[in-house]
Amino acid sequence: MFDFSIVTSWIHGFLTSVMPVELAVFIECVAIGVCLLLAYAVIAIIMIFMERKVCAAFQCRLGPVRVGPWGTLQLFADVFKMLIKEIVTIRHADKFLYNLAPYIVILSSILAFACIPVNKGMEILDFNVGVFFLMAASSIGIVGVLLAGWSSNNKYSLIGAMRSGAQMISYELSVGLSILTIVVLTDTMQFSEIVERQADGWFIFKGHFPAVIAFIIYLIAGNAEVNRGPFDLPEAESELTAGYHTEYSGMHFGLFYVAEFVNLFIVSAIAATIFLGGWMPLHIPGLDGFNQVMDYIPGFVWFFAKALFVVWLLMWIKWTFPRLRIDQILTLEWKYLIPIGLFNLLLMVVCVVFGWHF
Amino acid sequence: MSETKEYGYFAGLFHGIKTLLTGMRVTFKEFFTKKVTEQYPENRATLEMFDRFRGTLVMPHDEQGNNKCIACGLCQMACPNDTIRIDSEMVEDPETGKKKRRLVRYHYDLGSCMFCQLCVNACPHDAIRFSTEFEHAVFERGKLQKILNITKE
Amino acid sequence: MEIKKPKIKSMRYDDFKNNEYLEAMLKELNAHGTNVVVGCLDELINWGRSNSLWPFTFATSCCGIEFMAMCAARYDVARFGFEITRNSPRQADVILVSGTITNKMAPVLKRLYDQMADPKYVIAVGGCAVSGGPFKKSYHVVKGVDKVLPVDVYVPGCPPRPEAMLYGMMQLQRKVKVEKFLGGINHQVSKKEYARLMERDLNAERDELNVEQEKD
Repeated sequence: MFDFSIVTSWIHGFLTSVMPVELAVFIECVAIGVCLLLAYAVIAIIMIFMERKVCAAFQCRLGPVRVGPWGTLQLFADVFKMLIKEIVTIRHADKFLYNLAPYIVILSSILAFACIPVNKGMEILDFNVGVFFLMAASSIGIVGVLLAGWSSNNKYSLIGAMRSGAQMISYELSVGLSILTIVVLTDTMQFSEIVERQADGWFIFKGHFPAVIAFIIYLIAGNAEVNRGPFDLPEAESELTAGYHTEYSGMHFGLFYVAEFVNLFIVSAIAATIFLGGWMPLHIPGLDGFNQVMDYIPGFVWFFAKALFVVWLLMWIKWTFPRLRIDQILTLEWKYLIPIGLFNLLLMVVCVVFGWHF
Repeated sequence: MSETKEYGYFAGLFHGIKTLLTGMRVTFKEFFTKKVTEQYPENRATLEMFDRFRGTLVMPHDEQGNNKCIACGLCQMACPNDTIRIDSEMVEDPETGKKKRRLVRYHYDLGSCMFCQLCVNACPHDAIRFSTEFEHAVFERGKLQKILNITKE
Repeated sequence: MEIKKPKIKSMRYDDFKNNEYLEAMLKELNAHGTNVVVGCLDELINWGRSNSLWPFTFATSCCGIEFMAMCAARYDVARFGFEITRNSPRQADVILVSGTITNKMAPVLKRLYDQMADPKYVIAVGGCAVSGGPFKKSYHVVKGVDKVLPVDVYVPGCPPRPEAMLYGMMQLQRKVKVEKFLGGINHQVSKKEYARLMERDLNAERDELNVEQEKD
């Protein structure tokens, strides 16, 4: 199995041999920051292109095909256009908060993006309460959304932001409960440890019934958390023009747009990590030859395959179902998902206590 | 009128899940069907409209450049919109000395035509008909005012 | 640097109508001349802009149904990259005025156009938007939307076929490719001009809201 810590320790050794340790660490931090932002942009472009092609396939049409071979340069044209669009200043808007809101959303998105383990040894933020940190970081995005709606000086944006805020804080609970179910199964919150412990079988197999229920609840709640799919009422056209980001144009709107798709990838990546094994290949305990063959495929290929599969699942859900009303969204959460989630957590605790898992 | 069934908590939950899965199966099958998109600029060579499609009004001319219009003005009277305007003049036939009406210019405003075909129906000599050409977008509105007859000079 | 004639994939230059308008624009551009760096950057930006014109979801009557048909599966507008229709005018690039504009709707349309972010374009789709169409003799219809907005492309038809609307969008793509961006469209109004326009708009009487009244 390709271990990325070989590369990182080589780089660290090379740098410390030619300069003092503090400077080496500083240069490494800057390099990691640049790589993180680059990866963020690349993942955003891949996600948006995938959305357009997958959406078209579900609707019996072709997506972008004219710009570049098979439409691959379409996103770059969109990026150029977004960069040169005028940023309209709203007359009575609160200027500081209005300009700050997109950056808060991007900040929370990048913080959450940095937690994902892509390969063995390739994690940026990895400490012993990783799961807890992820939940906290993704909650910062709600502040950005509320600020955007409030400071736009537009009553419909405000309604959109309030609805979005209510929806996001409700579904945070379900996300937390379903992740907690897996944390009970494995008694660690550190992401690299969670992946290491799936070496003899992914948690969705090891934890049979409660883990499958938790996976489904996580998918639904994660979808609602990032305002995607049947839960995108804040962006519903006939209700609120464009909801909390109505008054944004040009690059500010581009930041909201990009953050939405990368948040989708983050939700899928966390689902792939916690339930489907992250970068761990498919191991069937007992079949050593099979496991050897699976090990030849590098970890990041497994990771991206699983994450993109979950992204495809979420896109399938989005392009099948009509939008839910806000009261239906909140009913679904508080009357169905939370009781089922709590009961599921209890079931998992019972399974762990009596040892009824693989 | 079918009666709506009232579901309890668990029955409603399972019924809801069943309907969701039905919808998902439909779109899943749709994902793998052949796509029906007609790729417009690429298929221009083979693209054919059906015969009755009204694209734009034309006045067909034969090989010598003659048209069948006698400048009677019936199409102009039939048009509900004042899209057609006929400029005609009376010319005297030099041999017989009789006066006849002759068409000078046949103005047609593509921008206000509503393609109702009342003008073609009104023409007694089939001088005008609709052709199936539909690519008319222009940058200046003046380019949509057309003159349909070709003068021989 | 010489700006070249705009090329559209799968269409010949001579298949397009009204080429002399673009040639006049090109002549004016090349007369002033641009240096190579700015010219190359302009070409790149114009390539990006022309392939990513997001329409504003605006439709008043029957031409709106043809717009929906253009966005549906058979004549897919997503192939060009235009399927992202934004609902907020601040995020849209082109407004396809489809359908009849009545005297009551005209100030609303002007307001929506003013809210759009630069660079923005207008396509008048259908007979009603080009000249009033079937309602040219009516008392309450704006006889052509160019009395209210500056129109870039006119697409005649009642309603125009989806392919005719796609042809109109390809004409707009050619126009965007030929425009001078850095130093031309990029230029904003000066602060004094902005203050003067703001003063005029805030103190305008209701009748002065830029809609030409018919005198009959």
